[in-house]
Amino acid sequence: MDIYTQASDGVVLHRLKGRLDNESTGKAEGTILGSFADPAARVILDMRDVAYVSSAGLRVVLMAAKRARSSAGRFALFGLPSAVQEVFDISGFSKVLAIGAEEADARRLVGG
Amino acid sequence: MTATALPRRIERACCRDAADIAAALDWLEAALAEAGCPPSRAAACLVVAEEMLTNVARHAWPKGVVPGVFALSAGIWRGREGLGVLISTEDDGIPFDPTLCEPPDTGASVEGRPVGGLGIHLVMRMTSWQRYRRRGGRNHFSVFWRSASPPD
Repeated sequence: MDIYTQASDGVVLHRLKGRLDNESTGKAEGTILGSFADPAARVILDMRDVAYVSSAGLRVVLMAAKRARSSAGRFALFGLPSAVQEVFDISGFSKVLAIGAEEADARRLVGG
Repeated sequence: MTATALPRRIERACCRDAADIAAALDWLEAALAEAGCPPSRAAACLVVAEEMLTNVARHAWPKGVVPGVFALSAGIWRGREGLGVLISTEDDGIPFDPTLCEPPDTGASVEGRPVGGLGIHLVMRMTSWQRYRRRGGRNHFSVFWRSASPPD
């Protein structure tokens, strides 16, 4: 899992590449949750190059969503490949998380 | 490239650490690619295998215990409806039947959801058949995953 982070216009954007799986979530968890160190942070995950997400990856995504809610922040994702979308649908994440098709959608969802 | 002759059965011994589980998934991914399964479709099969392996690795033995038996196998064949994979784990850990797990509440809000507990649910929902057996002091858990044929 490679993570490229950009911050602009008050929004932290993490571009993820590879598997968000059991082996990679330690790094992803530290980087993504670290984005919520400041209150009311606005954080976006670019999922377009994520090969797959397992339950270990879902755990990190849910922790980020919880962190956003508890810190008056905003959190959104965009560009879920079909394999990732399937896992989000089965887990019910598709119904409770802010998910956009494109980056512009995600920026709107976080108020960016 | 010519796809590997099918049906094919492969088996690999596993360790409990995350790096070895990742290596086992790489090994399965390569076998699926050799069978002509594109990465976008293989991803779902790899999710299933990862959940099965990590569940055994984390829970089958007390912390620090080196398994006597921990193996992953896959039977791969091609049918009229696409590629089929019988994924199996075998371990000599404590008895555990994944098919008896209660499904999580997937309709819960972000605040109301516990973190974790989705792995077995993914396995059960992403496969069309599951079977657990306890034989000879070992857990045998098998699932059938199918990749639909790509559109013509």
